[in-house]
Amino acid sequence: MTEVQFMLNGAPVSTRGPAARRLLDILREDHGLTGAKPGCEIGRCGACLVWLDEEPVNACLVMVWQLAGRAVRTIESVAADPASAPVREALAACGAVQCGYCSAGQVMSLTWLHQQQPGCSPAQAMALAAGNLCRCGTAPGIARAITQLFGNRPPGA
Amino acid sequence: MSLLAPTPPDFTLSPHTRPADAQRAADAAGNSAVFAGGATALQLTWTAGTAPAPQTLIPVAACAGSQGIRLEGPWLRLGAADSLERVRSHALVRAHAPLLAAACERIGSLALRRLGTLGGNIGWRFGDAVSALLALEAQALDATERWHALTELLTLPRLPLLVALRVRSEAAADWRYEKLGGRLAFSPTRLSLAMACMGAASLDDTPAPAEGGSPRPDGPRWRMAAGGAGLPVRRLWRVESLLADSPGALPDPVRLREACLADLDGDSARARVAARLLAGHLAHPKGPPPARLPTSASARDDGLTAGPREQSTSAGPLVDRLRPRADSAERLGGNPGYHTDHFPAGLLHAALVGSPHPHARIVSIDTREAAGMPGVRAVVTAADFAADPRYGLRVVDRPALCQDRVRCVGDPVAAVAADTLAQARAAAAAVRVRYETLPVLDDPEAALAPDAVAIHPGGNRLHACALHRGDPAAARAATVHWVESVCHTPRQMPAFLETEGGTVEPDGAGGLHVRFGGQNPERDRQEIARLLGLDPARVRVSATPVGGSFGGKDELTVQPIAALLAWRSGQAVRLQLSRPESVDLGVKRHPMRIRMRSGCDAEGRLTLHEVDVLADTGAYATHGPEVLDAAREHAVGPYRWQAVSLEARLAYTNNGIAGAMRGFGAVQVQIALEQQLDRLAAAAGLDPLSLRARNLTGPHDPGPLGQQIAPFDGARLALAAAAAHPLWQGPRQQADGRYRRAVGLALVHRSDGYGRGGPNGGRLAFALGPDGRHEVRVSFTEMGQGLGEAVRAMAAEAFGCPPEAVRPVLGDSALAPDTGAVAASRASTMIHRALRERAPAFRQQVAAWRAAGATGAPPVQLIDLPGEETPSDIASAHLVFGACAALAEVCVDTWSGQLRVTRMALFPALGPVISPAGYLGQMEGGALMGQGMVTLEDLPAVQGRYPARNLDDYLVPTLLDAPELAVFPIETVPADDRIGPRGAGEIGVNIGAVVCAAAITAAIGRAPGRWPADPAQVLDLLEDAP
Repeated sequence: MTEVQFMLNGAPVSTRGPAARRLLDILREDHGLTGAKPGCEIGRCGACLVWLDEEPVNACLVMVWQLAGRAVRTIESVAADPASAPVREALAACGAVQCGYCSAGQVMSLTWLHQQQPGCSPAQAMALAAGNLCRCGTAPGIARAITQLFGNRPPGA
Repeated sequence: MSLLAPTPPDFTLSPHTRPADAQRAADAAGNSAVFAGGATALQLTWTAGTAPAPQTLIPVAACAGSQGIRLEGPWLRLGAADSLERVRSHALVRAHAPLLAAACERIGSLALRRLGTLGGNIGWRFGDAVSALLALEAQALDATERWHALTELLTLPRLPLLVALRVRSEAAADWRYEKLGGRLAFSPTRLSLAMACMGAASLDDTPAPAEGGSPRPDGPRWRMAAGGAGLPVRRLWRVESLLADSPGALPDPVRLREACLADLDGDSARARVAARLLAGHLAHPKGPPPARLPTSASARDDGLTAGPREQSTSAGPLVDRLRPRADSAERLGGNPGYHTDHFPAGLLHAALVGSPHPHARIVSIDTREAAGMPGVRAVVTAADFAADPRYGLRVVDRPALCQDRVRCVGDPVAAVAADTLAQARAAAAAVRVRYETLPVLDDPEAALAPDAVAIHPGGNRLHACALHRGDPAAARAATVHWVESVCHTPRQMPAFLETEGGTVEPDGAGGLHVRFGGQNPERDRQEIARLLGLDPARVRVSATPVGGSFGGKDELTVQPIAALLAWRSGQAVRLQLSRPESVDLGVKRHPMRIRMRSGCDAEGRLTLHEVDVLADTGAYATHGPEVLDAAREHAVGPYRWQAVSLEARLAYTNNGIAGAMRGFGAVQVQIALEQQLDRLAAAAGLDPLSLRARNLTGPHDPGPLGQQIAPFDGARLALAAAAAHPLWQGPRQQADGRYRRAVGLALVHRSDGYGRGGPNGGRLAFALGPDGRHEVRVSFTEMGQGLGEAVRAMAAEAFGCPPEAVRPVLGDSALAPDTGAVAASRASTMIHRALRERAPAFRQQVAAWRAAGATGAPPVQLIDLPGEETPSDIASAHLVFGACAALAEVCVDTWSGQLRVTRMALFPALGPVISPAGYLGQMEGGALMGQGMVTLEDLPAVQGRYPARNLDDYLVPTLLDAPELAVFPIETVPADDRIGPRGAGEIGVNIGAVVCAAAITAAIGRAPGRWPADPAQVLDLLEDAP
């Protein structure tokens, strides 16, 4: 058994379990944070995207032993943060929401890009956001949102 | 063999600051210890069961010197524990080793690269970074602080600890990186090929192996490396030697391919591609062509979404009318209430015991040990159901739990509910099932052989249907041009991101509340009640919202098992399939083999159409017969044939289960049909558009089966809109050295609703809510299609109120009457009809109630809407058809065979657009799913097993694979039209697949016989092409 302390959406928490227990299960089962979804559980769909020390990772691949002293933010915190509003509004306005199962991951991914990669061009943002699958096929809508969010920024970086 | 992911292992962490200590710890522990970077790939070995979990994990990041990117003398040094994303994005790497940055960019996704490390990528030996590092002659630092050539280290059976890597800081004079995966981004590596043209003297004095010849140490020359999944990355010594032998000259293609073959261990498929790519790059020493195909971002602003031309039948691109869906905010917040997110207190977790065999007799099931294990609250088998465990639509053949036989891998035999998922899985593994294996039928033709073992008592021919119209002899006599083809369509998987799952809770009053996403809550309720021997009134099914379905959750999935466990244990039970379980057990699109022989006369008028369809329905019937009937009805298209002769058969096999999937039986034959029309056009010397226009049925002509249909001119209007679009007006074939682009055109029509004799009717209710809002209550569910939005728009108009004053009440058997399944593109059309026919009366009722002082119960009107069917007495024939034309532009990479759909324009003729967001989303999303079907997606079965069981092997299109896409709706309906909006839920898939197939064939110059058109097949066709 491994016991670690980490920050979860700004509050200190501690968790105890097998070293390989996944952050995804800790979030959903222990903390009721169900915004991160199991989709493939091998890091290939992006539905469980969270931020680990303010960087996007798949919660299904992060294990207890990797959490010590780190800070985790989930969609529940990010969606309540006005800083994500431009991304959420663009996705809604551009027709990038269908069943919604991937949406939390899309918001996490694009909000990170929008906030942390100010010089990102639309093409770069498309490539960097391609790890979030959407089976409803909202890709054209997401592309529109990306053009809207990243199109009017200075190029380069 | 367990089908379940095991319990998370508990290993010991052994962090060491001094690399030497870490290496010693690893040596002492032997095979039970592993070095870990991000462990992204490592943990997949134990979750997939390919390797046991380690007992000791030695985190590389703890070692001094394992992180940091910096210049050191003539070297660029990188830490082994640096994340791949850090390497990709680092300014020093981009400046001094752009090849490495380019390779890292193609690894996984942003999130995976954040966890994955450079050392980890090397450790797996297949990684994209490895080929770049080898081509750059990288060196690696071990725990003894000695640098070694990476090529040398990779020959060792067990890699030592790698602390850091270094490559020359002098950037390569020229470099190329190629990755061949299925997709443009986020692909497994089929082939990773790196080329670096390094300056004069090599800092790496490692000699090439003797058998590889000896590359000259002086002068600029190319270093190359390649590898991919299952083929560890290696230097291409023989290729390099071949080039060094004749500097400046292009290598002889045959010798180049031989060298690639030798360097790549005789892997002929990959050697062929590598040789083509190398030849191409070496022939372009200056200004490398783009290493990646053009992205859709570069295709913007090219007139695709240009406004309508004067003559267009569409009023313009639908995106201009887009408004946000009212439910966007809650969905973007991540918690709109999916049933798989419901974790009530005291919840038990369930695990299934699935068959490891594709076909076997169950000899015995022993649950005693499992029942006594810690935390176990219930273990159930088929014997625990109160009734015959089998269910089915037209054919009752599928047991909710298998009793005496299993017919596909994953077929559930027993199930366990326990306090934790780990306990449930441990107990499921302890259920002893003895099987006696039976012959595996993995081919539909073999399954139909007279001596084949019968998968079901009635034999393996589940269904057959035929269509014989007109006078074949006369049609044959009139034929001048014949075209013939065989087309194989893939086993496409719905791949909804939310796997089948939900919870079932006892309601405290002797009943059960089932919360499972699905398409038909009322039918789920009836079946679960029957299986448990309960009064249906005691079962409530909430089935909305759904995290994607696409037909895959139309029938019951595993709700009955969860319900049985909840009923037995008296506690809430949660069951959700893992992705591999979902792949095994979920329904897929029917693979079909379609033979067509079609003719036309000298003027291009269609004569005889002969069709033979063989479809693989897998282990159980589900919607199979209806799928085959749909194939029959759509195999002739919206065209006038002088005569049609069609035979179709549907066979049971042990290849998993095929059932309902968006596009439903029609899309397979439409691909084959439209390819035939293009062949006929070529044979008759006609434009593809002219041939179609010449043969279109008129608005008052009978339907494909000769039935009377609702008059509609959609196909003609759609075709006219496509004809006027710039993509069709511009150049339709362009060759650009490496790439070939072509524009394809296609037209489909497709039926709405169930055919004659199907459950076309349904009940719904209008009500005035306590807050004064108008409610439309239907059992249809929200699966992403935007039904709530459509209901709000339609009801607002019908009730004369703003959309905000309408409350759609969806998908719950306790809240809405039985409207039937939200399927077959029927929901909006049906609600529209109910509103048109009954809203005026309800408005009067509301007005009267208000006039009387609004006292007493607010008005409710229950509507029993009879199904509308064709008056023609033809079983399963449809009354309503929508139509869609489309143009697609495809770019073929002639070096690698990789395809890219660059642009698509859709012209749906489906009557009025009710909700722009819903309509646009359905068309775009459907088209992308159709594109996936012909470019990427297939789930082959090998001896009844799927080798691909997750989204790393089964690839669906990503954001980068999506084309620039525009939708131009045509809303015109005949003056006396009674149908209104036609269904938009599926036709996007139909047209997307068909138009991409047309463009692919046009770009290659030959038609792939098997869809999807994988790169190997494309190369075969390109090499064969004249």
